[in-house]
Amino acid sequence: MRRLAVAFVGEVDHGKSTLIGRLLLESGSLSGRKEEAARSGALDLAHITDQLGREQDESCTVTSAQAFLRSGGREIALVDAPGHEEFIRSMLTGASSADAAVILVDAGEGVREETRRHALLVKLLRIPQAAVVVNKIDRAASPEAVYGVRAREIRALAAEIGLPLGAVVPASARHGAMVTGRGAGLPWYAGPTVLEAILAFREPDAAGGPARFSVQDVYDFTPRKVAAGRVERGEIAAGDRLIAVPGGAAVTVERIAAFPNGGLERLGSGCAGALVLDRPERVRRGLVLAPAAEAPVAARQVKGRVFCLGPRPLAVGARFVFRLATQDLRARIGAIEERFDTGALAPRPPEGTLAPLELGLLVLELDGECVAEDGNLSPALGRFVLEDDDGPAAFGMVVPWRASS
Amino acid sequence: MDHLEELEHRSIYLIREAYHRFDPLGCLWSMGKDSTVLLHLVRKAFLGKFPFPVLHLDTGYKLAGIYRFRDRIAAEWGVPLVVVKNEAALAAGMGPDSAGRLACCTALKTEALKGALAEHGFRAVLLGIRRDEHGVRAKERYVSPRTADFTWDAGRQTAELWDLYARRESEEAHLRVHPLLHFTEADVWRYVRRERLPVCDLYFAKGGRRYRSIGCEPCCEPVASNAATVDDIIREIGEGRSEERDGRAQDKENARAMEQLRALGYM
Ligand SMILES: Nc1nc2c(ncn2[C@@H]2O[C@H](COP(=O)(O)OP(=O)(O)OP(=O)(O)O)[C@@H](O)[C@H]2O)c(=O)[nH]1
Ligand SMILES: [Mg+2]
Repeated sequence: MRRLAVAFVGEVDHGKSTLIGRLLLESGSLSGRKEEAARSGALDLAHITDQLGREQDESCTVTSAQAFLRSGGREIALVDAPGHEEFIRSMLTGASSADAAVILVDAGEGVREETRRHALLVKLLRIPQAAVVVNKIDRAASPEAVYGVRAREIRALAAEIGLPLGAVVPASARHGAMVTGRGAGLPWYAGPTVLEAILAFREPDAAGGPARFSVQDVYDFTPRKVAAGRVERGEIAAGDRLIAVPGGAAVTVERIAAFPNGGLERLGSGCAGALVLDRPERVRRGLVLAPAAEAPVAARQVKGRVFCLGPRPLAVGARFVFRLATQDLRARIGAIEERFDTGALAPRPPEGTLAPLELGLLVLELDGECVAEDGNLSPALGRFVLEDDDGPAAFGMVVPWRASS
Repeated sequence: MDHLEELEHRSIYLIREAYHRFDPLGCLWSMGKDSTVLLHLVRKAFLGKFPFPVLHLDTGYKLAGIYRFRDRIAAEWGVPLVVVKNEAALAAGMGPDSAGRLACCTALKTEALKGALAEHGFRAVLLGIRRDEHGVRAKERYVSPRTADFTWDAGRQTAELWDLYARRESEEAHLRVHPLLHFTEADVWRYVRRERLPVCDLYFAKGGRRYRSIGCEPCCEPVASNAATVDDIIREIGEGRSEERDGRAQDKENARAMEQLRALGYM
């Protein structure tokens, strides 16, 4: 089984870093030196991931970090995301790589703007599983009643967004209740602990269906030219007859090259491989190889749900570098059809720009044909980044033009 | 795909992206287990070839076993090795005792790398750092820009979404690319075992001591251990609760030493 990554998200100060520290401590994942310091109180639990001087001085995560949890023979990467709106880019860096999310809600404060935004982003990023922690339950005068209110609140939010939720766990990261052990004071709660909820996350299924191979490069310094790239879904085997999209040129996989030992029979979804093709001159970076009968459609337009990272708004007519898997194109924003406030979860009238932190439905005009597919079928072909000179200005999830296989 | 395969494929994809997008590219090799795994992944990515130079930042203070290992592997694997030294600083007597550890690392590693970047004009270099090595490294990104004066502002990193590795064009002088970021120490050893990779013999216990992390002779201490094989080491790490860099002086000098070093452009 591969190692899952679990992102801890939610409003600033709701206890994400402290909870990660507590999980590491109680599961025995820390070094002896750190464990001792944490037990004696010399090491603040949040500072295990909040390692930057600035983070410790300001008691606030600035940039996401990862730590490794070991429990019952399993290893899980815990991704500590910052909750402050200003650091949303870093939150996305952490969350985009996650297989599951834990959304924290402070029992006293309840659902806040960043809770809503992060929950929406978890849905948008297609993180397939999520649990909730109602944290700081130690502070509630009547914990059971407060938990009931918060659980209803967060379930209503999840329902509004369409986010499937697993367990909603009452816990105290600071005092260690219901994190790895049940602790005292929460006898009315019968569900899993935080650790149990995390261990219940499953490995997402590999993307199946008709094969897609994104060509990264063609190497001619090898004995035979090879097309290097990645299987985005399905499987590639020696002997496969494929076409390269856009263009439709036909190629046959003669062999799957590998080092140090000769070759492979097949490449599964997610594999980075190198194909020896009968007509290597027909392929180049950015093409997608697929079986002719079930090939994707290429188009000069892509429609996507786009989140503006800021600091500048996105405007109709603005130009960007567009990256989708190995396809690097130029894009111009053709239209902004919908706008959505991700903190209030409220639509806004579209008016030609998309402000930072807003989500929009955009039509992008490309300078060449692009293979963009439904991300539910081909995750890597269903997401993209818009980049300007300052780096990523926005990311988006493809909205397919029509149902495709 | 099993766990190690998944780690491997992610690394190879990134190495190939870096080779395509960041030209010219170089690779740093310290002869430690991590960067030797990195070198092996480069060979896998390019089917046994090294399509770019491999740099050794030689401080002149490395443990003797490291030089022997370097020369053996460089010959066996056909590594296009470039040894980089800050000759001026060495001639002026730079060393951890004379100048202090922070100054020594800065002069002999960071400044040496600056010299190499200037000479070869590298757009990016591959480095074998891992997130679990040290708290501040847990904040690193796969593609991490450095300004001309080499500073790294961990708090102001651009977003890195999936493996689309976007980057900032305006400020950066070069990029650090980290294909092993998602490996843990235990993963590296499991991978060494699976791939039957050679590692420097300083890692294996002799007389009850072994090096868990190798580098410069004055600043690396062996730790107490009886692990004499890769299997022993994997077992030791699985059971143990000590820190990998416990034997490394530069991390301990003061609590924020690593953050300082990294801000100054240290690897
Ligand atoms: N009473 C109580 N305090 C807690 C608990 N968990 C965290 N805190 C405190 O809440 C404050 C914020 O905790 P952090 O873990 O830094 O919060 P965070 O969610 O990581 O915050 P950002 O990274 O800035 O988004 C700290 O003072 C913690 O000690 C808890 O369970 N009970
Ligand atoms: Mg935090």
